[in-house]
This record gives sequence, structure tokens and C-alpha cells, in this order.
Amino acid sequence: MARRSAIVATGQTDFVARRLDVSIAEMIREAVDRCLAQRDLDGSRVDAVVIGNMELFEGLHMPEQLMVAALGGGGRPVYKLNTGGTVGASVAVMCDHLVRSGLHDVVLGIGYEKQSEGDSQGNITTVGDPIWERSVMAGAIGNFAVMASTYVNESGVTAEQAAKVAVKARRNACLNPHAHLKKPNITVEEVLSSRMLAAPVRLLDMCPTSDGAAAALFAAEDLAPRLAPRPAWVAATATAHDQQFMGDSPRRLADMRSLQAATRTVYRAVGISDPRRDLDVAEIYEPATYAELAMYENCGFCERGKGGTLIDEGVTELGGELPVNPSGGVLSTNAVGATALVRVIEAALQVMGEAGEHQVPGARTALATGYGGNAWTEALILTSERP
Amino acid sequence: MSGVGASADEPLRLPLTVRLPYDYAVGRYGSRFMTALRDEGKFYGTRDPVSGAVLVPPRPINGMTGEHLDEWVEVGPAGTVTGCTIVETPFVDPMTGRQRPIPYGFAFIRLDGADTNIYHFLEASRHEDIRVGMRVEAVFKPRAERVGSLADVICFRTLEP
Amino acid sequence: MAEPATPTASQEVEVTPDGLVYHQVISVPYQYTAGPAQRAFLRGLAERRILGSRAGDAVLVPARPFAPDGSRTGDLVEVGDHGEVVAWTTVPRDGGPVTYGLIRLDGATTPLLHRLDVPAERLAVGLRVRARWAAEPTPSITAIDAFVLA
Repeated sequence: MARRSAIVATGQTDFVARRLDVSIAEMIREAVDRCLAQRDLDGSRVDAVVIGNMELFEGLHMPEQLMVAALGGGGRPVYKLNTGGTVGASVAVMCDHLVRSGLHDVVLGIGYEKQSEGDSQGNITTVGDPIWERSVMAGAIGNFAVMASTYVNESGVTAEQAAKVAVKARRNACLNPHAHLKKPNITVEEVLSSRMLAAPVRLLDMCPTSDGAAAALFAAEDLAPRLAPRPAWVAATATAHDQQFMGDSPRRLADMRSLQAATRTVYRAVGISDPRRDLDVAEIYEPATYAELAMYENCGFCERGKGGTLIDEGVTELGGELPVNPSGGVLSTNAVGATALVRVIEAALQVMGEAGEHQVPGARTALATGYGGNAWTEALILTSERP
Repeated sequence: MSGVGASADEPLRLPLTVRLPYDYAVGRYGSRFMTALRDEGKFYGTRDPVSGAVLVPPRPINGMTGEHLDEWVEVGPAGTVTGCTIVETPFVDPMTGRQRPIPYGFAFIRLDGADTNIYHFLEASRHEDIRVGMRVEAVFKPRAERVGSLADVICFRTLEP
Repeated sequence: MAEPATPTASQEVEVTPDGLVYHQVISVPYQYTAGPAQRAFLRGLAERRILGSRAGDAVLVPARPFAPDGSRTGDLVEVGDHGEVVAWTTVPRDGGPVTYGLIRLDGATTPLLHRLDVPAERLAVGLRVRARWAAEPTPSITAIDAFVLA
């Protein structure tokens, strides 16, 4: 049985719309410094670095080359990933695998995006297939809205229920010092009267774009307890990708096959039979309110079609039976390359007992998910106990 | 720091527009589909020999099953909307550099006979006029204006009264 | 600060014996943020000054926040605008051949990449050159027009 890995330290920049004070390299370094400083470590402890972002957002091919100095990666292996929105979770899974393989004892995972430096709506075109999709793509929002319409039609979730998700997220964000959008007084009415972008998605139903970086340090089983008082053990990981073209399944939200497959794999690995009962907290990758409702169903937190009921009953609020995104989630903070790693980091903070004001009391088992592009999905289970 | 003037801390941004030309080969399967669109005004898909699913866009391999596909089947020209929206947020069409006139309809359409969907525009500008499940048909450009791309179809319009 | 230009793009369809080819041009605007060290370097250029960053005994030009070993650099150091060619190459371009060189300026440890405007027969490693400044230098590497014979 391969040795385990655990997250022993994390760092995040304070996410904002535009970081005009630093270059990309300095922004990454800020997150890395915060991560290492958390345990009073220095860069010499790091054996290898895994870094991810969506390169098209800054138009920099092979950015890791330019940033070796900022990563402190000189002379060390640096692995670069690009899996769209889920890249931060891919980074986490790869860090775990590198440590478990025995090749490296301490691996630093980094996710970042400086979206203010590009035109996100314009350059997301390169995600679309040049033959079949580019000439008709409607940008991230339009594409998402079409899928949301299918889900709404099947499940019957209402705009009010979606608005409750927006309210939960922006209020939770007020308890997270790193979050971008904090709205302590947001109401359902404010969400429902915000500008319609593409039905059913309104402005406040949608995630922001943010500049920022996140870093997490993974250590091998025997080292981890010496580096952190309560490491966040990586109990299980799964990766699932799906479909060749965006139109292969319009029911991509209603029936998220890759999310079902990835979560079932990790639940099985750790013996979870009832995720609503057995998980203490979940940090899921929700690009918009409707996605969060659909993900409740596809992660098995409730029956299919009942995502709206879960938010109505307050189950996923910070004080509820299964808090979802106590950090404020993607709806509050979205630097794409960092976002899925932030889910993993926030899940880790929960089981380490270090989530501060948005700590779920007694959290010992956490789910983190990533979501990107054509329904690419990662799922991880983090635990306080060594598996 | 040695003195560089009062504006040392003011942000400095460097504008750079990257112009990227590409030459994409449409491929054997794509070219056959696009040529039929241009010359016949018809849509085609490929059928999986094991599952029977007809896949549009047509492709040599069904990624989900691994089967090789070489049976061509005509699909459409009518279809069913499986997901739809009215886009109201400004969006610069990256294929033309011009903003698309908003609002406009946008949908997943499952052409009759196909088991998968294509993206395209809907001839609609109000939410009340579109719904999942509505029946639509393709509106083609005149033959002389068709070049062998999805833009040979202007949009899909409702078949319902 | 000017807003980014609107992206422009196009698509042409070509029919070949082997099938269709789509010629697409995607044009995307970016606005890169300079950090403190880069701002100092670029604003220095606008004042016809070339700045490097101290890293131990070395002076790294252009000025930058981090040394290759990942440590933070120290003070800014002004280096001269004269130096010697470390390496060079000439490439054919639409408007005629262009020569690029790595120039180690007096006082700098690392060389700077820039254009060389030097008669072809004089190009050599070790050649002494100096910056030719633009008439109205702006905070950009093009504040230096090219390096010429010293």
C-alpha cells in the first residue's frame, strides 16, 4: 500500500478584482510565502513544485519558465498543468500522487490567475472547438445558461432557491479574510432584481473574476505530523472527464456524470454511504447558483430533483447539517487557476481546525471538488485522522 | 530605492494585443459534414454500431464507448431544443471582432434522428418565446452564400405557431 | 490608462483536395501589470537610465524582484548605457534583416536582450556598444531604440 500524503500548510492571497501593485510572479510568491510562513518553513524544504493556471487568460505559454525564481524552483522539478477551471484540483491530486509515489517527500502545489490582464470573455473562445463551437459560442455565461435551462426544466428549482445560494455565499464570504465579494446585507430580493445576463442567470447568480494565487504544501506520511500540528490527510482522490463535444450532453448540469463518478469513487474509498450524514463539510466548485443546486444532487447530498429543497431547509448553511462552501465558494472568489485549489485548501483548513471565523465546529471529514471545461471533475476527501 | 520620481508606486500596465492566426484542418469527418451542409443543405451524423447512438458532430470514434464509427445517417433539418437562453450580456464575437447584437437566442438543439446536440442561435429575443422542448428547424443561407461552416445555418426558428 | 482594444478576428474557409481548412485569426488584448522592480526599470528607461537589482555580489539587469535561487533582490543599482556584446544573431524579417544581441552593460552581471544596429562586418562577441535612446523615451523597452557602435 503506497504511503499517504497530507496537506501541512496553505497560503492564499487576498483576492480582488485587480492586483495593480504586483506582477504575476510576485503575486504567486505572496501565496507561497504565506504558505511556508504558516509553519515557519523555507523553500529549501520543497522537493518539487506543481503549478496550474489557464494560460489563455494571460496569454503566456509556459509561464512556469518565467517564474522559476518566484517559485523558488531553481534546480527542482516543476510540473505544469492546464485542465481548465478544475486545474487547481488537478494540482492537488497530482501533488498527492507524487508524494504517494515515493518520488518526492514534500511537494508544493500552486494555482493562480491574473484575469484582469486579459479579456476573459474574448479569450475563453480558445476553449471552444474551432470547427464546431467557436462561431456560435456565447461565452462562459451564455454556455452555462443553456445548461442551466435544462436543469431548471427537469428539476423545477426556482429563481428564489438559486438566489438563496447567492445570499449564503456572499454572507459566508464576510467570514473569510481572503474572499473577493463580501456582501453582509445581500438579500434574495437584491439577487432577483440584479441584471439578467442570460436567462436564468442574473448578475448576482454568477461568480466574479478575481486576481490571486493559492499554495498548498503536501508532505509524506512520516513527515506530515512533524510539520503541522494537525495535518489534513488526503484520504481519497478521483478524476473523471467526460464527452468530446459540449453538445454531447445538454443535461450536463442535471446529470453530471463525471461528478457522480468522481464522488462515488472517493465515497467508496473511505466507506461513506450517506454523504449528507457522513461528511462534515463540503467545498464544491460552483460557477453559479444553479450549479450549486445541481451539485447537491449529483454529489448525493439529496435525491435527484431536490437540490432546491436542501437550500430551503437550510441544510447547507454554515450552521446546517452539511455546510457547503463556508468559505464563500466560487460565487465569492474566482481566480480560475486558483479556484479549485482553494476548494481543497478550504477543506483542509476545516479538518485542520484552522478555518477561523468560518470554521465548522468539529469538522473531521471534508469533500472538495473541482469542475472545468467539458465537465472535467476532481474529487478529494480530506480527514483529520490518518486513514 | 534610488529616486525614480513621485510616480514610483503608481500602477504601470503594458498593453499588448496578441494576434494569433491558425489553419485548422476540418478533417475527413468534419469536411464531409460541412460539405453536405454547403452543397445539400443537409445535416449528417455517424452511428455507433453497438449502441445505435447517432452522434453529431460526426466523429471517427465514439469517445464514450471506443467504437469506430463509419455509418453516416442524415439527421434533421428539424429538431428539439434541449437547453436555451436569451443572451442579454454584451459579448464581442471573437470570430468577427464585433459585438453580437443583444438580446439573442442561443440553444442546444437535438436534430431529429441524433442522440447528441449542437449549439446554435435561436430566432428569438424574449424568454416568453423559447422553452426547453420546443420544435425548431434550420434556416439556411442561400446556396451561393454557403461556404462549408456552421455559419451556413443562420439560426433555428420555431416550428410552433 | 487606456482600455484594451476590442479583439478582432476572422475566418476564411479553404477547400483543398484533402478536405476543408478553416483559417482563423483570433486577436486578444492583454494588459500586463508591472510589479515594483519592473516599474522602476521601465520608468528609469523613460529617464534614460538603466536600472538593475542587486543580488549578493551580482547586479541583475533588467531590475527584477527575484534572483534565480528564489531569494528577493536588494537595492536598485544604476548601470551604464555602454557595454559589450556577449552574443548576437541576425534574422530575416519582412522589412529586412534584424540583429538581436545580448549586451552586458558596464556594472551589470546579466546581459540585456535588445536590437543591434551595427554594420554587419563589425558584429562580433566583445564589441563595445552604447544605447541609442528614442527621441521621446516612454516607460518601455523601446525607450532604447537599439544599441550602436560605442
